Amino acid sequence: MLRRVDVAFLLTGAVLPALGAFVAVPALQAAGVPREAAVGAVVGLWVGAALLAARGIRSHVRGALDDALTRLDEGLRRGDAAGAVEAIDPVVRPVFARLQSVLAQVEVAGQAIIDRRELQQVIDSMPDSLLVLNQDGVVELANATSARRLGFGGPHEVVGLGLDALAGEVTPGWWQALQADGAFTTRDVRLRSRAGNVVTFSAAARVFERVGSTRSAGVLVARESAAEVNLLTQELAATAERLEVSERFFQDLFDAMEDPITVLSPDFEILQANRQAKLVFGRDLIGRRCYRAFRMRDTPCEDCPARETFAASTSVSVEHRIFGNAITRISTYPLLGKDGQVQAVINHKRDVTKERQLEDLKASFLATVSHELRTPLTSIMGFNKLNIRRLQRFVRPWVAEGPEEVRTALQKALSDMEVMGSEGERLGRLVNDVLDLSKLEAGKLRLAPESFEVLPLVQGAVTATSSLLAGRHLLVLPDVPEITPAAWGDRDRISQVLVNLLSNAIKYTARGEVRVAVVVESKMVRFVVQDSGEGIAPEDLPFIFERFRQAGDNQKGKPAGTGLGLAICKQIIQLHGGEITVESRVGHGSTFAFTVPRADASTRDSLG
Amino acid sequence: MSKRILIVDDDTHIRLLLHRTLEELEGMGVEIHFAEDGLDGLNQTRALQPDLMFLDVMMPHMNGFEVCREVRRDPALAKTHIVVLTARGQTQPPLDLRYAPHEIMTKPFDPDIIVARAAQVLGVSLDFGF
Repeated sequence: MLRRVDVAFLLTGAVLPALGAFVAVPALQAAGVPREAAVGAVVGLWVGAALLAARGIRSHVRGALDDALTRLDEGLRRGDAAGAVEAIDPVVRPVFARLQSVLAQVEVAGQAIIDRRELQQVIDSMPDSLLVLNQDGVVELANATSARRLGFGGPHEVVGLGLDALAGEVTPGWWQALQADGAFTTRDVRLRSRAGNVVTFSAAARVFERVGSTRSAGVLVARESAAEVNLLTQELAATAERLEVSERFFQDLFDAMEDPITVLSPDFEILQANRQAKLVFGRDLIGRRCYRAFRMRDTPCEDCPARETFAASTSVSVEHRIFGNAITRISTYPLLGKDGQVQAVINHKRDVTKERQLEDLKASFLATVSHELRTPLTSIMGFNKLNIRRLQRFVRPWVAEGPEEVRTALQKALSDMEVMGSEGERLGRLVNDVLDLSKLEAGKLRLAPESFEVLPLVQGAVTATSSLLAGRHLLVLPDVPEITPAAWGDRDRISQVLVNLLSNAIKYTARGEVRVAVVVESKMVRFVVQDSGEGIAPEDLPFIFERFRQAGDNQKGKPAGTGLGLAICKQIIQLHGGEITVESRVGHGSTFAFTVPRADASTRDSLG
Repeated sequence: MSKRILIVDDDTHIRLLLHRTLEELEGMGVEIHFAEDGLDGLNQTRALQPDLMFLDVMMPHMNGFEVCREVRRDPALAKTHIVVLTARGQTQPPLDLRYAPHEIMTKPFDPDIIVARAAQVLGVSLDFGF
């Protein structure tokens, strides 16, 4: 590629010398000037003129040349060639010397342009803003970053701008400081963008001496804007503070727990411990092995729940009798890492001694209450029954012939005593139900599972509830397949459930039918009790298996029950690994269904 | 020799109820005796050698099952038929059948059933007079 300097050399080195060679040199030779001198002078003059013109000093050279030519012309006219050359010599020599110097400078400048382009590329790639200003505060060099930060299209748009345009004033404070101190390392420098907005740089700058010149200039290397840096710093500080607050919150939360909680590594090292853990097991807990710290053992405990949590990534809960009668429940929870693997285990200990004692207390309390209720109830009902018997045996025959009001009074007394008897029975059932339910809920009810035939169970339940049918236009229809596999469970308890559902169905159905069906499934036997009764309101359905809930509680003449029957049914069926469900539509009846394992299915293994 | 029934219960009214329930047997030559706690019950059993005893479970000094165990361990008392009257949810009976009661009835009991059972055990016939 042709450089501008090359073009200048082509012009001055080829075209103008040709003119000189064909016009000026012969003229000089004709005047007696030696050829070499004439050629040198002319070439020198033309080249010098051309180049000096290119350097912007054309007028000066032209003046000198005009002067020299005038003198040459005068000398030639006088016929004094030597004089003529001598006359132009003082003019030509310095021009020639200057020309050589200019050529050297052009050479340097050409190289400088190449260097400068490379330099520009280098500084454009800097992430920092760079500005080089001369001593007058005019930008001589800028990089792409500074141009971009100031909103210019490129460095060339920034070069040439003075401080007045760039900073809004000729001598801003930082410029004065730079001139005075020669350098600064961190200082906010506010410059104006092309749009006129203030852009703040956090800048470092120094004054440097120009090579080959005494003039000084400043270099400004500016990093990201202080405002942005400040903002980032503030955000960082805020985040750090939030983190700290959050960490403190969780630490406080951790410490506020009344139970000892620790975090264990896979090799049972205690990584974290809350205040309570340190209080119970010692301040120096962290870093120790849990089996050593908690149980004074030399090797991991064989019943360790953490081991299982590490292996299976599940939470595990065990109860240990550690010291004397104290019972501790240890629960472990997995702490998963980013890869989904268990990194550590949370170990939570709770002293459940009191809970267990309370459970025992509750059981014995219930047994006592049950006994204390039953004993007077036995007396009340027993004496009531004896009185009924006495009245019937001894009084009734005697008053049979007596006045009508005595007979009526006796009949009313007997009838009222029957009510007392049935209410007493109800009270007895309630006591039984409360006792059953509390045993079931405490998991203390022991099932006596066996294989039993389904048909006799259904027939037994139908028989047991037949007395409830008196005075109702109701049909009870058993529907048991001819071949039904035996079921597996506590026969008496399953019978209790079926009788309960059947008596409910009868009690809530004034007329129509109650169907008791058995459906054989792959692993279970399903018992279905379907009635055509009043049905259960949708808002009652979700709570139907809760205790002391009776559908239609507000209804007049509600059937007498304890409100515990269905809760007990649910517990019994769940204990058998089965399920109990209800479907109902008001006005169309209800369907209760429950499942019990088949005797030939594997589910029976899970029963106690 | 007349037949003997021993009623062991710490509750006065239950004793009275059982007495009233069984009193018609007295007219048939059956003696009815009472004990107010377990230990008293055991001593009286040894002294009276009753044919039938009704035993409450929760009593002072000795519970019904303990009395039952001692009575059944004693060969001299082999003829005594033991009916334990229990409330559901009370202490479970001993698993060792050698020392178990002959019968367990649940409170509240039905007087008719009690008297019928007593008559049967003692081998006397009842006429309710209906």
